[in-house]
Amino acid sequence: MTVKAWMTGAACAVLLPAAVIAQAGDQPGTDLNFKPVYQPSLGFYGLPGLMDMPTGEAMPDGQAAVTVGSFGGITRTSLSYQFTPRLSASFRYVSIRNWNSDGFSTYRDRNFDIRYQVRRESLYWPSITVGLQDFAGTGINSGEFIAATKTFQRPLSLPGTIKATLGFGWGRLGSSGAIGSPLGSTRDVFNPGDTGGQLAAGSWFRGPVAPFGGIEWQVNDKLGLKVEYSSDAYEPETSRGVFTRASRLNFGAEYQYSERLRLGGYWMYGQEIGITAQLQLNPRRAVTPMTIAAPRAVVGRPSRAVNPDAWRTDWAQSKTAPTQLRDLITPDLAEEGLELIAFSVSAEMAELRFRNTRYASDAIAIGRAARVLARYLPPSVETFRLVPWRENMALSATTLRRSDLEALEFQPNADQALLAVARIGDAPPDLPGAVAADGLFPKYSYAIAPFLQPSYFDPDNPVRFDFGIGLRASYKPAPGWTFAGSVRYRLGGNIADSNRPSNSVLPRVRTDGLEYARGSDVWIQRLYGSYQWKPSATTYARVTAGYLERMFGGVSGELLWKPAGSRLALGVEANYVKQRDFGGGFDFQDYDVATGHVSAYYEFGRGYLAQIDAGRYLAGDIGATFTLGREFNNGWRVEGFFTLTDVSAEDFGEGSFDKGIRLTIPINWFLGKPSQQRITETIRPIQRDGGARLSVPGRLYEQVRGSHTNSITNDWGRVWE
Amino acid sequence: MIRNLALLGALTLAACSGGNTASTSNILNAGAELRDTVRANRASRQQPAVQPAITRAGIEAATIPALEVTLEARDQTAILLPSAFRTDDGPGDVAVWQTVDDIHIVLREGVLIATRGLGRDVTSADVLAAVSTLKSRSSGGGAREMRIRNDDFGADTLRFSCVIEVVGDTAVEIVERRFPARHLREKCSNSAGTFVNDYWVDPARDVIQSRQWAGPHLGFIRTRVLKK
Repeated sequence: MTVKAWMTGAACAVLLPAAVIAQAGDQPGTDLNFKPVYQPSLGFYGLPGLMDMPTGEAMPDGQAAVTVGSFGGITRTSLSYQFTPRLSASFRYVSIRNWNSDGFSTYRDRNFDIRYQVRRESLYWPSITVGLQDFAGTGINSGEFIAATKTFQRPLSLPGTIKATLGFGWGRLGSSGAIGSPLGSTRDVFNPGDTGGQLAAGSWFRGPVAPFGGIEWQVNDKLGLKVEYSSDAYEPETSRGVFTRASRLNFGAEYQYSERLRLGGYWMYGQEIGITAQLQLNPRRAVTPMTIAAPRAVVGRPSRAVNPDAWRTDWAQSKTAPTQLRDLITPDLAEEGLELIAFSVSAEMAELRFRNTRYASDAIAIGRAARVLARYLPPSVETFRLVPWRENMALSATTLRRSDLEALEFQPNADQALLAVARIGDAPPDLPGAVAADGLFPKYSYAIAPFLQPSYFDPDNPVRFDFGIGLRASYKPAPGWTFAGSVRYRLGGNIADSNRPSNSVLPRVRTDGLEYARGSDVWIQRLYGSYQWKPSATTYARVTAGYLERMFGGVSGELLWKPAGSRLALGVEANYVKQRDFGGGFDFQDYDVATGHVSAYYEFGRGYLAQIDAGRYLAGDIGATFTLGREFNNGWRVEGFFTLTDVSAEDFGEGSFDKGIRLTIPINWFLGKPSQQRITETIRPIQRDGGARLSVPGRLYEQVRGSHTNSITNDWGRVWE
Repeated sequence: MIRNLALLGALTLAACSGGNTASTSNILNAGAELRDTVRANRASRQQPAVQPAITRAGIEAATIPALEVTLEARDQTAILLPSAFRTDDGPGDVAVWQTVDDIHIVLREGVLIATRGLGRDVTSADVLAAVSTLKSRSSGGGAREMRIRNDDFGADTLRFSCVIEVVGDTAVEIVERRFPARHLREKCSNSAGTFVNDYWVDPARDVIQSRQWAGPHLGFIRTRVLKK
């Protein structure tokens, strides 16, 4: 088979994904209140701040920020997130050049920060924030603070805005100009060789406290000037000759390049030049607003009084009526990106089961499917049941009255009015008496695409990656059945260049990544068969067998209970897997393990999600993973997780326990066109063998949840779109 | 590393997918969609919107209604044809006007109540007070509510209180012909801001020309009735 042959009829991408970023042009604008969204400037630590010192401000709710700041050989790269209007968290990677001690020439470390805004700014009160900096690491940046910031508009007849900050710091932030130790003097000291990962709660707000402060003058929309008095003595750095601290005053000028990007230049500690780049993204402000071609308006029925004949119901006696109607609606559904799976119709009611292949939101799919039905079905059909369907699973049933569709389309508050009369509930597994679509199965697809596989935080090289080309294919002979696989061929990269082989004392279920990278240039990434089905109206099931992931193969079974209207879901998953050979072929190594979890999932509302998975992990350790996340209706999601198992901190190694953050961004947020694709990236400070979970393709909860009551209701604003 | 990245780029150029079912590739779809977007943007830059040449004779010869709509913020003008006329429980008639590329403008007695296919659209609007005041061709006012689609798969509600005043009787020229009309001005405000809509209502109490605010993103939309 030649290249040309299999390119026939195939979609060929011609542009770099990296260009997505280049395309992400910022547009200045106003929010719905006619004013630009206020966002504070960030400091070197990637959270609202002057330069090194924090302020009392918080970012807008839901804001995500990526900040790089560097001076004097110290570089901090931070990922920050405003998890609630008051609570924010930050993950930071720090590198300090010319360290030249403790066995490091460049010292690299990871920090977690957490901040809480105790008080928002009001007419007389400043905003007040309390923060813990680097509260779970080796302690290189450990410090606590309380900071207050007050804004003054056009002070002293000057243009722009001045923000004055005053605060008190402990730890690193109390190391210069201390005025005493009001809350006790004992405090853990920074130890570069420590495994980290332990909360040092006993040290918080202990030891010397020092005042700090500063002023930020936002001269106009573009230019900001900053000055600060720093309470950080930089003892670990200056004592090792990283840089010389000649002053405690820092000065800076920042330029708001676009709504999202701010650049800064600084004169730090009387000796060093510093720079920052601050990128702030808000999930609520898409790079490109979503634009979808308008649907055809609801076609109203003739009045029964004027045209009683049209309302006759004898058509329903015809055996061929469902088939004929199915053939009428199928092309119009396809035009909307909806695939008819099954259709049943009686004189008064119709049920449509469909697969949504285009829209990230099922609400819009339901709205468009309903309008297609209203266009073709005889007037006597008054009730529509719309059932999103995926992989042999009918996910939920939304019941709409046709007369409501006709009456409400152009009413004020049309979406909420329709929601008030809609019913969303469980869908039974099967639809008796339905006509199915012709020729839906078998389905097959393939894709040849490059892959990029990053590996973070190697002490010698913080970002390593391999890249190459991958072939993926799937074959679905019947509803619920999937046979899929992918093969990868590495063309280059540097993961295998690392000279830090695993030092783990646990079964090396994850830390042998280097061996896998060195094992072969071509490997089977995955090769498996699976079957999914719905045992009852509220349960979902899956069995999967094969080469499930790069490192393990075996069998996996899962059962999930999730009524459509329930905030709570419960699941159980059992797997028996064997460790795969480094070469990436069909062979296995000797290590095998029975691993599985009992899971509870809960939707708190307003996008907050929690998950607890308790069970046995790949290394045979027993414990639980706790995940807390926040998801926007458009699919943006930020999650943090940690796993505690019966593996001791010492056996676990660096980091003491498994933890990380996961970021999911929908592609339509960039492109402004309907798409179900998302980019997900999980970042762990370090990957060890304890608390490691099998990576099975097709876990049920995420397949199901998006089509259930909570998600459909959240997106309901789009039902008429 | 630069060479490696260039190679990765070249690979993406060659990426392909196929089958009888939708591909599930992130990069592939994003790449293809991005390509289409860039092409569309480039095309729209190279060919500025051609103002359709309309003549009075052409309008007189037309057999169906036509509405000219201008998006001020995008400097785009199009002639829209009716897609549906509707009466519902609300006051007056609803007209759905559409462009050839499936953009809809929905007017209730000439007052904008929805847009579709523009992005950050007006999803719905309560313009009861405006509709009845314009029908009476006299001063009046009342509450106005607009729902504007946001980027989080929902819509935000903006509430205003509005006053409508008669500016005066005038004549509106629409393609070589002058129509007598009364100019009414609607001033709407809330704690966050103010906007002003203008309507020209003919003696038959139809809005024949208007300039109306369609939310912070779309800005002002101008309409002219070319053919009733």
